[in-house]
Amino acid sequence: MIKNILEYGDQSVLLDFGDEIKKEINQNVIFVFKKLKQIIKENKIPGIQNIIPSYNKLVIQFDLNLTKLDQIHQLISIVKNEKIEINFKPKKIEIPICYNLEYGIDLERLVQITKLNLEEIIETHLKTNFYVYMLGFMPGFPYMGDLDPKLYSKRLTTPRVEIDEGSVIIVEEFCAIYPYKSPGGWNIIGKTPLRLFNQNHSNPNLINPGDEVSFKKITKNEFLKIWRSNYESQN
Amino acid sequence: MKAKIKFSNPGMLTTIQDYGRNHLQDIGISKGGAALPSLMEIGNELVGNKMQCSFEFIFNGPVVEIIEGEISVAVTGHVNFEILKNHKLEKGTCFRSYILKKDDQIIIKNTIDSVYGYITFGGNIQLSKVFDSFSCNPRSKIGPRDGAKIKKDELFDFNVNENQSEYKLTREPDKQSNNKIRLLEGPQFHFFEKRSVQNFFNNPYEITTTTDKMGMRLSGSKIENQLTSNIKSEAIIKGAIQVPADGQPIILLTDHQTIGGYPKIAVVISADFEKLIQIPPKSMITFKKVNYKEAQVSYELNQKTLKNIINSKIQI
Repeated sequence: MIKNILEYGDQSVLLDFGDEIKKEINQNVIFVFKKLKQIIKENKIPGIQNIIPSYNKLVIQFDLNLTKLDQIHQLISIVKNEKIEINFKPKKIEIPICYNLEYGIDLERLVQITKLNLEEIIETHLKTNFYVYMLGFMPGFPYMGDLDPKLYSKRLTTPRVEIDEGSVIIVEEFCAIYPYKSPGGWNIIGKTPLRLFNQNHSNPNLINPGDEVSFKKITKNEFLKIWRSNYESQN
Repeated sequence: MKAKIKFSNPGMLTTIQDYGRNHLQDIGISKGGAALPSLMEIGNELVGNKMQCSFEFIFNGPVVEIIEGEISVAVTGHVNFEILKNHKLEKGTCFRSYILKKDDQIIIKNTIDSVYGYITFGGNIQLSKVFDSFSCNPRSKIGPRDGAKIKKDELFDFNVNENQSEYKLTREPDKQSNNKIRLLEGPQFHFFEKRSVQNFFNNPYEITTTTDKMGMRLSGSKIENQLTSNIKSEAIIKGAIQVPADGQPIILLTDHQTIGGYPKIAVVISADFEKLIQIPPKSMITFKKVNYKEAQVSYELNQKTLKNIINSKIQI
């Protein structure tokens, strides 16, 4: 399962699970990620600062004042011999999305790129059960796959200076949602009224690595109602 | 006892910092925190705090006025500043604390041959931590007051430490001696052409002006990639040196993004990170490859030196 273990600076170790972006590989990453968190919590192992999963890698960051590289290797050897149980149930999350053209500002361009009509694009997107490979780039930003190849598109040649929070975006085989206003070069297909990240909540992020995400189409009126309750009534 | 301070000039870019946040990089929040934790620690020590937080400024610093009460304050770094005390202006000394009263001021002019400096006040700042930290990241809007930088005329309240005294150090941190930065091989070291790697270690690189607390962009001999200039995005760490397709390295600094898709030729050893981040843009730096053992021993030595500096504190 773990193909390679590398030192990554003097206070991190990188575990390599294979070369590809594949759900099976990422599930191994997430399994080890969860297992390590559990072991560290149960045994109160000091000095682990972060465990960070990505598509096919896992980075363990530690504090040299509190632990040493040898101890990190020992910790890894415990999980290395664990049988993978992929039976941990993914959390299922449904995200409401409004595909109105004022929100899905790239939909008409995608009609030309994909040679599908508007309804087919929306239907294809709604049909997909997305898997969350990782979070990153900005707080709460989920990298989800795999998008139907029929919806394949490239990044914009010139990224936009600002994209609204809640924008649902696609590129290549991925789909994501912007938790904040941000510059970006992905194609925007719609907008969700949910807040993906709120630093004032004890569970700040809506979506976690390993979760399953599906989208539900809503009207502009429904969108505005939920948006107001999420963004205006609270911090 | 309470005190109130006002930033009558916010400075170029001043933020509240502590050690930053752990256990959140998996949801997209990197550790962040002070660029130079050692200067922040010394500052807190000089004003009698059990590690609280400091105001971190860059280049041209802020002017802070005491509006209410009496509070001790220390400036740490290599900083040119003045203290207005009892309506009298005096030249400020770094690495000592002053007890200031209403109408007194700390006037930061500039950092000398360095980037960051710290102002620390003696007491508990009246703010709520966010994810267990006071650190502010204006870009990701994480931290108290939505992580914003200090604004003009912004006020802060403190519950002041009891029995305040003025302290100084008998041993100060060493001044930067050279711009040589030690590195460990990065996870994609073998992606790069042998000759380019030699050039990387044998030639100096310039720190460009497009450098901020997220990353330091370098300019120098081009590093050729013999495999691919894009990898599957993976977690990035402080000090990692990534090389995009243009062959010009970028060193990830304290407020780096959490993941990235460029191959990393090397990683700055922890012991040299603070030295690196203090070197101003337009300076030249050189690299030296070392092994893990040297990195670890150097780090432990640094930590020991820091303890000795802190223990050299005496009352004035």
